[in-house]
Amino acid sequence: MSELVREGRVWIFGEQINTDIMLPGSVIRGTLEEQRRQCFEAIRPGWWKEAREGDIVIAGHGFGTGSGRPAPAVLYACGVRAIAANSVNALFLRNAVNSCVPTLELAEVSSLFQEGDVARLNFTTGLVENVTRKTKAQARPLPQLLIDIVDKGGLINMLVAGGYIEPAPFIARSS
Amino acid sequence: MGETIVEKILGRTSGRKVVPGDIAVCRPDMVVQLDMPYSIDGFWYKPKQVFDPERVALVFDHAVPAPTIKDAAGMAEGRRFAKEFGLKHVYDVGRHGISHVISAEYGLARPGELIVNCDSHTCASGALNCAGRGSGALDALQAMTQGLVWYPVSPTVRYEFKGQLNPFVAGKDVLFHIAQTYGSHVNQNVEFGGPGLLALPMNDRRTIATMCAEIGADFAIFEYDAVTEEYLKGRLDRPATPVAPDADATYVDVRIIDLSALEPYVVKPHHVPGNAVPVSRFERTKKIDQAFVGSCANGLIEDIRVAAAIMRGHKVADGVRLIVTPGSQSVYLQALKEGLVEILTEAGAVVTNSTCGPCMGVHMGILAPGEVCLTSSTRNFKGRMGSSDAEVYLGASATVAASALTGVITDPRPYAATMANLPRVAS
Repeated sequence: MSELVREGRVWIFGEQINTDIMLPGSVIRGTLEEQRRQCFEAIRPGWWKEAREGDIVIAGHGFGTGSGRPAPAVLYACGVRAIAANSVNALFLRNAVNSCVPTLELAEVSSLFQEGDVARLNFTTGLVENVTRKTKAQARPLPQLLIDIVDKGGLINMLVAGGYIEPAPFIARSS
Repeated sequence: MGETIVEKILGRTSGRKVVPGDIAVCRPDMVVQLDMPYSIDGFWYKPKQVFDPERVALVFDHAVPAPTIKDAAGMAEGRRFAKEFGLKHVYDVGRHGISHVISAEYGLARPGELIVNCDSHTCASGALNCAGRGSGALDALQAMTQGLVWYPVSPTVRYEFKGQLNPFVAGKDVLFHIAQTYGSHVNQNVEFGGPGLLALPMNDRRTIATMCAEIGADFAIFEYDAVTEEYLKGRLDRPATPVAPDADATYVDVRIIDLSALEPYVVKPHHVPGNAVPVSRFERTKKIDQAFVGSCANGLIEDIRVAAAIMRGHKVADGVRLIVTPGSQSVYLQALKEGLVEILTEAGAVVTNSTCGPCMGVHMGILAPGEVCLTSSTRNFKGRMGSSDAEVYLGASATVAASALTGVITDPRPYAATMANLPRVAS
């Protein structure tokens, strides 16, 4: 079975970055496109315009603290394909895995990177590499079950394939 | 080797002994579905099967009654789903409440069991010795269809209570004290017990359990005792088996909390850990625009009594809005019968129907730019209750009510004697 690896450009965020910053209540009922445009706006206006597919978020402690709202899905829509943080809120971790944004915890990972570096994260082995500066560190690997969810394209694809749910989401009409 | 309460519950529901560091794949005992996922695109897919219709509940709470067409259309789909699969536990508008309050009132949160709910305050059920923690809406979908839910197994911190709370010091203040003294509990479970537990009322336990989400805890759970048993009388439709920790269970730390030594706290914007100030050290000059009593943390009859006791015969301060939102329609009805709604309304407070409402800036009292709110709800994140240029301070219900009276953030303890103000009504 091939390993789950993500390599990309790094964005650095600080401590206790909460879910409401990634997905504010004002657009929680909006479209994904509206939500994407508000991602991190309260602390880094315009970030959403600069993010590219394949980017990686590196952050400090308490990343994703807060509510169960679908913040990782918004990060994915902005192009983020992996996260590593000093500590990650477990609810956020769950949502991230389910939304195909594999996430690693490693104490002090935020001090291993500067913004713009290229990171290579191997979720199967737990190896964290700063490709730009040629440094590395060892995190706990993501358990196989979670790698399977990411490999199968997220939780929904797994449930559809298993015959548990219909393949298309329900969209509540707004008019 | 001995196990903590959470390790035992995850062990039973996953069919194997678990230790911290494992991932437990569990069969839930109860799954609670809310109104919220139906109106967020991508968070609801029509199920083709439900793992057990007797173990799936539907509770409308986040936006009730529907403030938008999308919310209304979402609830219509919820009703359709409940009917299609013959769900046993349905709490639609009029019979509704905040899901964690409903879970306690109607015996969905059961001692020794595992409850799944996509709301982040699902740890509220820990007060009933029931293991629950916030999951995503997609996990709740997996739980109700496939009957599976997975959790990383975190280590546990144990808190032992001693002594008892002084008048107008509340469960909320206990949690703020823990937040201030010990900070974040990210990737930790929290377990509560000790000789002081018996003197801690159920409503205060529920506040503490609920607010553990704000210190980043995973599961938060209380030991089961006579108070739990008394609360649950008549609420369970099938027997439940409480779970106690083993005497030789392993904890990250065991910490003593002397309830008698605590005072009220106020938490400043925009996060909780490390941000609480004892009210005696908080300058009595911070003006507020809005005061809110409600939410899953503090929307119980005890909270409404405290607010009514302080406000009786007085008026809400000029320029201040006091909004009181009962945690369920049952609490609302009880508040009506006890004369509390009349007292609060005469004082100029707005008593609303039960809903999550203002707590998350959905409706029923949103903040304008530059406004300051003191709330007994759960969260003070920037933009939480409306404008991201508003400031949200957190306090217990007595602190909120005293501040609504004076117009500035105020120590509630001098008002403790007002509890004698409450009209005596036959229960």
